[in-house]
Amino acid sequence: MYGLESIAANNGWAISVVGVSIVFSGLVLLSLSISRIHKVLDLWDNRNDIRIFCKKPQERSEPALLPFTEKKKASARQFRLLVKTMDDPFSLHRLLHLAEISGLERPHSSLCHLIKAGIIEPDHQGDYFFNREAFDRYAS
Amino acid sequence: MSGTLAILKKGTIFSSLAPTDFERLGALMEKQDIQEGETLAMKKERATRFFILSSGTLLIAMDDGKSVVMDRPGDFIGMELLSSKGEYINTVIALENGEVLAIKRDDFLDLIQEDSLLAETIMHHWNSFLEENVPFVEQKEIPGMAYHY
Repeated sequence: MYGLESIAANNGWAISVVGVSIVFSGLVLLSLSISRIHKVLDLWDNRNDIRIFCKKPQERSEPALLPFTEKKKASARQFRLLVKTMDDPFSLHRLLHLAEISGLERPHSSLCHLIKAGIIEPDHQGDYFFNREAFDRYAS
Repeated sequence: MSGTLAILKKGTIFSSLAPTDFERLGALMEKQDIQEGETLAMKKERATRFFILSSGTLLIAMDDGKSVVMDRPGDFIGMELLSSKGEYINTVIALENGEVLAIKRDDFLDLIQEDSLLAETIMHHWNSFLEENVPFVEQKEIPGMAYHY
């Protein structure tokens, strides 16, 4: 048996159709991949914008819950009164000066404690403001 | 000395220096304890020293009532943040007990003027530090450093 007859008898037509399909599918996939390659390169170039590759920005940690003794609470209330006499936002070293001349006990470390607790916060332009929520949380 | 280098490495300004530069800078530093309420630098006085915060909290009192609080180990208080034309332009007050590394202003300026690569590295990080922490302070250029600072 020779020729077309032999091909038909040994599933040659089916095998050739499968073969052609495999090669054709491969070529289609290859051409699709090549046509999308610019997208992949764009993605790689801008990988820093992709969230999963972004380095987590160092977040300023929330001020730790500092212990506020009755003395410190009283000091916070005194500072609050002084702040009320000032503009908003206010000058931090003016506040320190007022605390000193008002005779507050250990004004420097008390002020430092309020800053660490987030009760006094910077406006990042050189002035500071009084955070009432933090004050209520710690010292009210 | 190793403690000094560890503090320098903590800050953003000096952390990327070469090991030899660390050694040179570290050799010029002197540890100084600070007490709450202590004034480290007084406006209008002759600028003799710059500071690197080791521990504690410092308040820098500036013109127009502006202030900035430094509380991270490695924070640098120097150059245009502290002096101009050899005179302190701001006052630095300790808000709590701690420690600073003090470096003579002239030694620091000599060191970075001798080595342009070192100067470039420090100034690059210094400008970023100022932008991040004290954006309202006007930054200065490198030429005429001794005159400026």
